[in-house]
Amino acid sequence: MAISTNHATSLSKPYLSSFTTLKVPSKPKNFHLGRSEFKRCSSISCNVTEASTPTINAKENDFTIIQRPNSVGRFGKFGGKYVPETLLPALTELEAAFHSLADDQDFQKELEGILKDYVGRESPLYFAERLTEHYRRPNGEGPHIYLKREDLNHTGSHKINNAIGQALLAKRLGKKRIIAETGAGQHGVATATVCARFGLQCIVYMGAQDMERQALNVFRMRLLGAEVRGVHSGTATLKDATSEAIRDWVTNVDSTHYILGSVAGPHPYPMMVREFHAIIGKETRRQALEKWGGKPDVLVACVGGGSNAMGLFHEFVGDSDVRLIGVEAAGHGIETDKHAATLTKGEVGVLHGAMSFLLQDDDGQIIEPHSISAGLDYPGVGPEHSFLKDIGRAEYHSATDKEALEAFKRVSRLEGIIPALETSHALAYLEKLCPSLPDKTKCEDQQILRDMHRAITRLTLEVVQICGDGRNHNGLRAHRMVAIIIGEETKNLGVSEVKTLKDMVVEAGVERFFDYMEVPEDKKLGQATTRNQVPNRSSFDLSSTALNRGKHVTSQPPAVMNSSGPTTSIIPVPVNATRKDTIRNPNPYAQAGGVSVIGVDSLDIVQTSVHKGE
Amino acid sequence: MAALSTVPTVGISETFTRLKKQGKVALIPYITAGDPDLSTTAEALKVLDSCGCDIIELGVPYSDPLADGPVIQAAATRSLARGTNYSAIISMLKEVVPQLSCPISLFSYYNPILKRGVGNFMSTIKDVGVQGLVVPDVPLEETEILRREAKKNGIELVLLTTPTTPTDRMKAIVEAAEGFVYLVSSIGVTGARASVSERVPALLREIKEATNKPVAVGFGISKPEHVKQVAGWGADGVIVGSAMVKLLNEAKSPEEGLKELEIFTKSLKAALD
Repeated sequence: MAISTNHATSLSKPYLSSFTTLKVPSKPKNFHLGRSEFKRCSSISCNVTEASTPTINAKENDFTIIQRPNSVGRFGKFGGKYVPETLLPALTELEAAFHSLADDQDFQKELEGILKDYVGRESPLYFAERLTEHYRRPNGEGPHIYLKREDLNHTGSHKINNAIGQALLAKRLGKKRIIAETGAGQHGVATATVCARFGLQCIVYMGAQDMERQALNVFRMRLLGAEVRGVHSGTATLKDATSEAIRDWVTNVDSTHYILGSVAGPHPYPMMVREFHAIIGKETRRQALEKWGGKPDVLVACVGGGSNAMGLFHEFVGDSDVRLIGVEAAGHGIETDKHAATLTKGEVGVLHGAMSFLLQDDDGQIIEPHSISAGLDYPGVGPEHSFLKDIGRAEYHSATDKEALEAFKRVSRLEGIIPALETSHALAYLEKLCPSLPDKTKCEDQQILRDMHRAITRLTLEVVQICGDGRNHNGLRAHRMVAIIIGEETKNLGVSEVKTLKDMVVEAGVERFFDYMEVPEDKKLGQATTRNQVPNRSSFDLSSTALNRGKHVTSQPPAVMNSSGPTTSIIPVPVNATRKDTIRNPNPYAQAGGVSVIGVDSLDIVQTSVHKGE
Repeated sequence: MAALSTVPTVGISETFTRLKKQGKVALIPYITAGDPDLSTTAEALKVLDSCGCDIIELGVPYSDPLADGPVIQAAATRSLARGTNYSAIISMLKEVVPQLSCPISLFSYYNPILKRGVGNFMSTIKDVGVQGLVVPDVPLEETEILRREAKKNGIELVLLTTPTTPTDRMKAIVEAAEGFVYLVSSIGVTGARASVSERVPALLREIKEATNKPVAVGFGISKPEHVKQVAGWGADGVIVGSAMVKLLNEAKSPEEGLKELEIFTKSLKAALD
């Protein structure tokens, strides 16, 4: 999502409207893989070669004639196929099969039908009225914020678009064994889902650390019939899961198709995954035309590998009057060494098959990234994003863990939509984008939010103080500390400290530790050392508060709590949990015990496009 | 340091030419630099050389070695965790290479090379006496810069061909390969296997029809009987990696590891005589 900026608002009306007339198709574009798309790819020669850094002027229309990628899989100097020789024939075969789809009417028809009836497309372009109101200036002007509701797709994220397309492709290649990598588990769940739907064997590689903190998605994947293989090598996260999936593919290439989950990896993956997600942007264009007869002025999306962003941007890359903004994860801050802001702080290198920006040290070793959101916690980025940044067509900014959490809460409360933590980064950027508008005065709602803001900060500092742990004074640690306090430290707290804690928690709406409270003693992790230390619930006198029953717990309405079945289905927050454990899976009740609930885990990506104010 | 001015190191293709005249097959061990530590690596290079190895492949540890199986992955992780870095490896080589009679070929993933600058990397390794280079994640299409800079610096860039490589593509690869052609014995990553793929003889024949360049077979070769078998199939060289790395890692001490390495290498060498 993004907002009109000075630049956009200063464009004169006639200029904009002339563009609108010229560029917006008079009828909705077909959303499937159109034949013309490929003709454009294959017929236009490209003079941007591997050796030359692109020197393309960011002039109007240039982008429509740049072949992305060129015939050797390059986006400018980015992309390529840096994989072991064993895989080259498979990549060539895949590319040929993918291109042949453009002329395959049966395929198009099948894909179209599945996207409509199984995935539930098209996804709405929702006018976020209260969020728009929140950013409205006193004179009534301001950007109109729309959310492209990819969270309403089957499996709860955009990832299914690509998983469906590639599964159909695998069937055509005669490959019955599917492998995938996953970080948070969204792509793994989407892949497991389509494999169940098409009767394919499914193996998902997932970092052992991610398996632990995303236990619910592991459960979902297994329920769908997939085998989830934990990866213990390296740092045991997404990066290593991806490497392991590539190793599996190298070993079983004859029988196996690798459904790579982002616009990353060797050619043709960045192009292919983009095309399967391009429906996001195509629908957006059509919906914008229907809703206000124009185009969005600004598109904002979060960027980890960048598949949702590329899916949204692709349709508009040629529209030079549409501003494209990608928001990366700044973790603890881009000035620290704990972030995942690859495009902002990375350097050009090769990882997982492609040349792109990546986080690396002076020796070219890959640096472990950090983000509160597992989906953005990746040291690389899709090569096309590197290209769009390099030529100045798209801008890339970042939002910290804390800013994302604030946006997460803000949008939950203003719109009744609990965004994914990934998406929350894009939503957080609205805060920076809005002040760049001519009138900086904020609406009154803002004040309430600022108060909450302070509460979170205070909570952090005080909780850290209570725990005697001054290592990390930030909002993330607060969640962890709350969990630890409840599990281990409370018997050492005085009455006033407990009261302070309770007040802070109520004020900030932090609900984490209540999950822990709900866990039966014998189900708690680390029980051997903590059993005797876990306080009696009544000593806090919080169990019956409105907070615990949902008043402040926006991610967990009472109905969910009540219908989540026996307590054994509750996933405890481990006492020795890392910061991410407590936050990445904020709603362990969602879907436990078979209750279908939209929780954070099932809401992956919401993009917003912003329509300029009247 | 009089020891530094010993035998001038010969090149890799030169080594194969000499062996061919003698009717011998090259034994090419692989070890990971810095596992368990760089001083042990230095000693291991000397041991391998004194056991009569013909070329030594030295792995540069990398954080994301996607062509390697668990044994070499773990070795790289251990090495990096101990703080092994590029400049320390270079310093070690600068000291050790002059004491070796056989040529050294580095095995490195692309990103560490790219980070140094391809030209810079090549001239640095050349300066310390390295003769060859294998880059497992750069297929033919992407080798242009590597080949240019390797040639400029007199480094022999070894290219890999695999059982999945179509014949036409294999021909292009062997045409561009220098030093030797690296035949990956089976579909998969590095690591010991129970037996050598039965496809190897046919693959060797096919390559031999396409080129006169020496061909060495690697991936999954871990025992004296494998070495003997592959030599019997007509390979010019045999590469043994994971088995060596495993020995060094599982030994109770570096000294013991070096001793076992010596015994194992001699058994491989004996299988080739």
